[in-house]
Amino acid sequence: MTAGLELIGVTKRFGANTIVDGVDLAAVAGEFLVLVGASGCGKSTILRMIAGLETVTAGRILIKGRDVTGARPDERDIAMVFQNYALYPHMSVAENMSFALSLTRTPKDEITRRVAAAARILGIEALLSRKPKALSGGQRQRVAMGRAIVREPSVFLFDEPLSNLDAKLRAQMRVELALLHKRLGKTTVYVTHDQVEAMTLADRIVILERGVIQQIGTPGEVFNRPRNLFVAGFIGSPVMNMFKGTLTGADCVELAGTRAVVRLPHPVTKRSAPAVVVGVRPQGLALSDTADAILRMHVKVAEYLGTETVLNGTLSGSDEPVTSVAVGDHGDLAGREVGLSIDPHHLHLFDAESQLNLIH
Amino acid sequence: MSAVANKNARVAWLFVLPAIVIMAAACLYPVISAVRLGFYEWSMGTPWSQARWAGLTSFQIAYTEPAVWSSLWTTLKFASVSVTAEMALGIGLALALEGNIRGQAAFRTLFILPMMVAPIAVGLTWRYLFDAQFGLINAVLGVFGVAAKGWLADESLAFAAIIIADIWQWTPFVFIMVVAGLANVDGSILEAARIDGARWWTMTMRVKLPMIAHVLAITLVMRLIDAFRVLEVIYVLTFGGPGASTEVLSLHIYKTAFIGQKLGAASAISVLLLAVVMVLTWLALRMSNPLADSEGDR
Ligand SMILES: Nc1ncnc2c1ncn2[C@@H]1O[C@H](COP(=O)(O)OP(=O)(O)O)[C@@H](O)[C@H]1O
Ligand SMILES: [Mg+2]
Repeated sequence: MTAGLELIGVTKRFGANTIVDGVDLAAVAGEFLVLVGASGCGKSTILRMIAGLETVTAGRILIKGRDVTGARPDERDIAMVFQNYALYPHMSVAENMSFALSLTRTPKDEITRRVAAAARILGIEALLSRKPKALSGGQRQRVAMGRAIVREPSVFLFDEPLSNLDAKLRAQMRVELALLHKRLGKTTVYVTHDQVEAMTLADRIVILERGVIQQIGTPGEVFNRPRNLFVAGFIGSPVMNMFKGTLTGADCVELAGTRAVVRLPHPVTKRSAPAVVVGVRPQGLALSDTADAILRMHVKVAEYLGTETVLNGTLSGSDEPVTSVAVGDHGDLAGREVGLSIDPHHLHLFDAESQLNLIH
Repeated sequence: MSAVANKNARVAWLFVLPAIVIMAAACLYPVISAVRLGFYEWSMGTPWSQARWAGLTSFQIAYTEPAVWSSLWTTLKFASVSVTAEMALGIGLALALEGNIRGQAAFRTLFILPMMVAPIAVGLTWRYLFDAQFGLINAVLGVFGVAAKGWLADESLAFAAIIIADIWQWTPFVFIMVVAGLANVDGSILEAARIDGARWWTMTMRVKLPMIAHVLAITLVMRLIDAFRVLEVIYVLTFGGPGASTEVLSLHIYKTAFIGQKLGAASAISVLLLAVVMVLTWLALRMSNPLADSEGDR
């Protein structure tokens, strides 16, 4: 199978700062890759190197097997949608969408046909003669996508395309983006810092920290089997609970500060120092007043969200922060002490030193 | 509009009224008195009470005198040639010095120096530069074997000289306006254009310059207005000569008023100049109004 897009050891340095460090990445043709990571971790820089807007310091970039590392942006068979849309303010919507084609001397009737087709897909036929200034944020977003679609590129690049929209429109455009990708079936690299966008849109998620890939996997993989503490903390909402602990046997961990002993679903096979970090998703801590309530939590804030309640507080004994999500309305628990049981399927174990996942 | 809003609006007007009155008076008073002067016969230095109502006589004399129309023609030639050259050079330099050229800050400072020199000093400087015997320009030309020219003594050379001096002084203005305009252009739009396949020429002509059209328009208007009122440099450099070859309208007005002692006629011609400048301004603003919302999305 040919890769739609391949990055081999791609590195970017600005002066002495290494911003992107040895990124290896291959997208199957038609795949939707999402790059996530905190602000400043190098997501845009990677995207801009793929687009050819930024040179690479080292490494190679291949599009459909063709080495484009030194090629001009317009020779790479890519299209990019910018965060602020970057529409040409002095051109109408139709001119914005047809600019690239007019520069390659595409016949007039073909330009018209392609612009009309893209406008129909995006529902912006009525806006074609307007200037960007006369459009709403969501409409501009569509025009920016239309400009990319019209070129019929091999790879679509998106840099936080939804982050300038309000929450409701963002959710709507997210769904439309997913449908659009299904319809066009083009290789896509999508940058976001929003994990909901990453989880819902991605075939595979690429998690970055300080220019280094931490994990590449399907949404299910990165959520259920985070490779290290960073990924575990980055993916999932509310954030995974992390408790310091000590391995006391192959399948026993004692949590620091409490007398609680957690039983692991499988014995740890990977060798590790006794110092570990136990990770439990808030959804894996259930309210319990029976004997399996091995933790006690002092609830400080109870946030009722409609179908569930997020309980924030500290562990009795160790004063470590802890978050639990309980189904139903438990707004009355604030200020109380409750028992919590651990669902072993939501349990993760990390080496405190290497931060690697010891179970998965 | 509700009664409260109505009242608020009225109160607001009351607050800004003094400022508007003062502004209007300061702008309109000189214009009105200049126009009024055109209807009187009055000698400078005598009390205004001795001024004699002359009706339209001054206007009739002024507008039928060939010297007025030929100086207007000279002004038109001067303004169109020098402003065209200034726009072309200023835009060209701004585009050339855009981006990461080493030492561009020093370059830019150097470029805007001429604009800061007082016009009288500019005139004097160029007068020495163009001097037939001692001038630097003839000296430099001499090195290349070109015979010395009497720059300010020849009609077309003198006309060229005043244009060169104006270009030297005012190209920097166009330059900084364009540099400022380009600096405001959203970089991601230029990147989008690169991805769309725009190279230097397309980028310049179809993306960058159209995006700063409003800056170019206001620069053009300001340069045209200034070029039509040009006086000091020409006063010092050629004083309108040789013959009347460099006598622009404002210099003609000056000579009519202070040498010919015909203040009424001078005022009448001033009204003509005012009308020309107003028409030009209106035309340029109609092409692209910098005071209306700019087209840019920022
Ligand atoms: N042209 C540049 N020169 C120097 N540093 C840069 C340049 N572009 C980006 N950086 C730095 O690279 C880092 C990553 O930037 P970026 O890729 O935009 O991050 P992200 O998109 O993940 O928020 C940032 O620290 C930024 O300051
Ligand atoms: Mg970014």
